[in-house]
Amino acid sequence: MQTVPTIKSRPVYSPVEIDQAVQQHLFIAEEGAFPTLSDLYQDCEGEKSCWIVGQESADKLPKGCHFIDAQSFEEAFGELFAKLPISSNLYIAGIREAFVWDIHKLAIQAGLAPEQIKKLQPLSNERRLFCTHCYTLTEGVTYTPFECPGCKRLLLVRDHFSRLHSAYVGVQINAEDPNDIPPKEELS
Amino acid sequence: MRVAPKPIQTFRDDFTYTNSDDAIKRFPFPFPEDEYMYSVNIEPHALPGPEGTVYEHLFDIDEHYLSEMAERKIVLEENPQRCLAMPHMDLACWDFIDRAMTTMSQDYPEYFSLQKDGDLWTWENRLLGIHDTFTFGDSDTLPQPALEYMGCQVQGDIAILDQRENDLFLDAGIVTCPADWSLAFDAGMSFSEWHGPVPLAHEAGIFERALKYLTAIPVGRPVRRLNWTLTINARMDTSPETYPNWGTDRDSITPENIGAKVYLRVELQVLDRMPRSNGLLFSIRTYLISMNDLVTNPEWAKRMHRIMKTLPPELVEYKGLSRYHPMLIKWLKQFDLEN
Amino acid sequence: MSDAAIKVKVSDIREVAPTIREFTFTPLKGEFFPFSPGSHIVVEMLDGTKKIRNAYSLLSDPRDPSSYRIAVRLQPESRGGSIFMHQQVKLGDELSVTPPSNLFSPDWRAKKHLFLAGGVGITPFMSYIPEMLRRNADFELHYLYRSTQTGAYADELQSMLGEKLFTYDSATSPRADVGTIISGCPQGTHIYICGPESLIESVLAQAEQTGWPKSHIHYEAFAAPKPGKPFVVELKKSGKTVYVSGDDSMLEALEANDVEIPNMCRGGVCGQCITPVAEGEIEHRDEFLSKQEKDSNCCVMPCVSRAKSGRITLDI
Repeated sequence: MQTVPTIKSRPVYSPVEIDQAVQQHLFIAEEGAFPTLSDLYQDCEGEKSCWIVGQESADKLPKGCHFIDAQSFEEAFGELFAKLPISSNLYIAGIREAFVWDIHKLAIQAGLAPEQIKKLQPLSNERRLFCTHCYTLTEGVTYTPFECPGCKRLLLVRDHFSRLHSAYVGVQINAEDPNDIPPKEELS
Repeated sequence: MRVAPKPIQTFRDDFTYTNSDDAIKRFPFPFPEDEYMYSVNIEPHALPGPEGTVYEHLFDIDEHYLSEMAERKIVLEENPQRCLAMPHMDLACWDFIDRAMTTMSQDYPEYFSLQKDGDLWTWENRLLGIHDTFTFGDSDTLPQPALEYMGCQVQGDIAILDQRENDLFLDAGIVTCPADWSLAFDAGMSFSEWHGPVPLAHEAGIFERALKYLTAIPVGRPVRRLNWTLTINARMDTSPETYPNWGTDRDSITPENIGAKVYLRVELQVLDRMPRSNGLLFSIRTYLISMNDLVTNPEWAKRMHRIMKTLPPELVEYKGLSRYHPMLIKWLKQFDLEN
Repeated sequence: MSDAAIKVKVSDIREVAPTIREFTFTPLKGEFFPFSPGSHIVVEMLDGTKKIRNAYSLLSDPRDPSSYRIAVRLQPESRGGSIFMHQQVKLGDELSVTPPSNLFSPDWRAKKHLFLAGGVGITPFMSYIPEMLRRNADFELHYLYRSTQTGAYADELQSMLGEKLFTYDSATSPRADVGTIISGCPQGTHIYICGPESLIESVLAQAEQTGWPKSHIHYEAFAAPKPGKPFVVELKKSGKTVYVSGDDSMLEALEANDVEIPNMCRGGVCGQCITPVAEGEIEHRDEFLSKQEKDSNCCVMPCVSRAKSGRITLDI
């Protein structure tokens, strides 16, 4: 269970339910994340479809499931979302939190309202990191402090989250005293 | 204006920045009480305010004008992304140009003038040697992007907030002297998101209240609040971007240099409704005063001591004072012996 | 309001529908502020010794600061503001208004804008339309009225908007079907409603049933304070006692007794007039306070809310 974050920009994931009044339901999962959606998918009685970003995996997937590769999902979803009827909901499951919020952003750009985009708690603790000194974005960060591949500075990974970048911010940890380097810590 | 702009001084490297006696006298000392606590300290910014004070005009132009404009230019040359405006903010940027040019030319006619011929406007800034004619609302007729053009002619950082969904979004800004926040990272955030890292205030429900108040501000009735922190050296650009350059400053404080190196940094934050776009202009005008200059006012010296003594530990940490906070209390004690 | 009031002159009065009168205001000095579409002003009326302040949407072109226009529907059952505007205000009169404020702004990210106007609720859309046309935005106006009473600007809108306009005159044709109007809108459509509560409620109910996203439905939530039973307000700190008649709002009664309370929208939305309650139960009628705050009885918005029983005590 997620604890209430002290930094309010950090996303909180509420339990997701199917609203049966909604006309169309799109289930979108990052490769390997579909199992978190499968109960919801079963429960959904409306018009529904399932989209997997990545390859087929060991997961049991519904029949007629669509596959999109990670390079082209932006364009494909952009077009797909824009054509949805207004009465539509998205259900997004990701291994990475950045995946979930990248899809969220595409949906907002296509005109959906935030309450139509149901996001499940991401499965891993991997973060996208925004280096506040050189603006480099790094995927898959799981511990702090973390060396920025762009500027080589050692960054404290904070819980301050940007929905625009789908990323957490990193700030040099030893800028005040170069020798003051705390031990590595696993991110939550 | 009581204090005329002086020649350029620096906010970096050799730090030649100084305050004149007049500038000290008009410094916006931010503590109304001996104990510091967060509150929704927002009040109407009724214009014109008392003559000669920082509250007199919508945009306060003071003796540091040329220095701050030179500093802003340096920062933007190093990192152009310190200024950004999302496409839907274009009209709001023009609203800002209108508010700035209209009020500055009325408030400081010796320095600025504006002539309107329908949508054809001619603006003169004699302090910076700018003289341009452009079509109001047409960004192609300006020598620079609209926000950067005007932002480089007013002191203080500018953020322009888009109002929608009963919330305010940080969708445009020119931010070269922030107290440790990054426009590039915070861009697009909602009001509570970009205040996310601020401790204590969320729990007190302060942002919720403030947001409701701010979204209801009408045209022509700006409000203001003061915010503060401490800065080492007269450094304007205390951004996270450049933190590697100034972080070590915090470790350089000794009992001998503390009065000269520690500055009280006060932000006069003004929120003003943009008439055509319904955006909200958020101007953050920064004033710096060294402890040595501050204690020339015995009342301020005493109160500064009491504020430092009662500051909650979360705020000491959040404002980045941990390394020298105890030393500062000790030093200020000499001005407040009975406490 | 006194600190920022704008003095205006009534420079034109027109009848734009059987029960609706349009007023044009020009500034006594200088120019008005331009404003954003959907803005309103509060007009201060002095009826004998009684002060009435009502909010009205601006309906002129937002980019034209030479004048402000509003339209007032005569509502004989109301507290007197519209009667005053219709019967007392004459060409050349001077009035005080507040600067514009906007609680009903369009969302410019919408892919399409669908306007639903009921009767005099056409007014905010009159300021939307010029800006929508300038920006080449995709929009439709659905205008519901009864031509024996309302229907202002219908002809003017017809020639300006052509096929973007859909009119429903309940005097000559059956009622409009909200379900049909909102079905089939493309993704990214936002709905804006201004009109009687019943219209807002029927759209919200329809949206709920068909799974429409609520945050893409916008409506003008504030209304002039409704009359109620008279009651007495005691002021704990100043020791004053103020009588609130059935027709006055608590805020108006306080003001009439020289108790100044900061305020802005006078419609229970902006939160400016929040006042602490010491004793007595409140009938909350505002949109500002949270449910929690209302339940705790800690404070009241005197612009619209009233006492549940005959007496309350405010902590001022």
